[in-house]
Amino acid sequence: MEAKLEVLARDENGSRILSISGEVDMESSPRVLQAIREGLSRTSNLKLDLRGVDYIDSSGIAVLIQGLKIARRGNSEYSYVLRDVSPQVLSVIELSQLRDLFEFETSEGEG
Amino acid sequence: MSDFEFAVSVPAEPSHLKAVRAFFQTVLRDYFGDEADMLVLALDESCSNILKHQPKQFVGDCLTVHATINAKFVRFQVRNFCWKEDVPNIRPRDLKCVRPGGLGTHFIHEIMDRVEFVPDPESPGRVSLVLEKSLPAGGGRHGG
Repeated sequence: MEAKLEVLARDENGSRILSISGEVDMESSPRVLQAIREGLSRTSNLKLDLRGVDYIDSSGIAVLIQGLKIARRGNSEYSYVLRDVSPQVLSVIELSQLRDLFEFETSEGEG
Repeated sequence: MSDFEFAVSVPAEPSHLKAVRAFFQTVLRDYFGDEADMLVLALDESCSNILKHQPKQFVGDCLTVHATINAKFVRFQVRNFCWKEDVPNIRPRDLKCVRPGGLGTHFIHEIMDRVEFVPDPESPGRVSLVLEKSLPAGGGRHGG
């Protein structure tokens, strides 16, 4: 019984976009991390489109943190952006007291 | 309003945490509305902790959650959580240090009003984790 999770990658205006949808939990978070690693191996400009994420727990937040650390190590000029973060995901990020750690944007413009 | 009791047992594997979340999301939304999301998160983190830190003991075993809901509170009991001697090691960490680990316990303590360990009646030497949250004034949609 696999947690429903889909990760789609595309390039957009010089950035690699990972569109993540479904539930990011203990079971599925390694797949998200793998996708982030692959994305950052291609580019230093990565955006995680999280509008389709219905649920995220501490393992998912840990993956977001790990991705940021990988981006920072790889390049002094990097971009690692969380895009269109859903209310549930934002609540969990705020519960983690990590809102200031990440860069956010909405697909309508800078967030 | 009398107590309502619920229980879920699933195989102790990460792929089955989704079933626990889905069940209690449905039940809790009736009583807590939007706040159900955070309660489900706390419960999910508790179950994940068992799988993360006690894998050998749970191979082939079940993860069991009991819930009691009444007009005053919701109480979860996550059975067979850990060994009694491990309890002092389970505590929230300082979030000023930004690192991936240790968030789950922090979430549990932030969300729930009461977090405690009680002896597990069916597993000598083991404890169950009890999480409790008071219902909002008016007892939610089913109480008051």
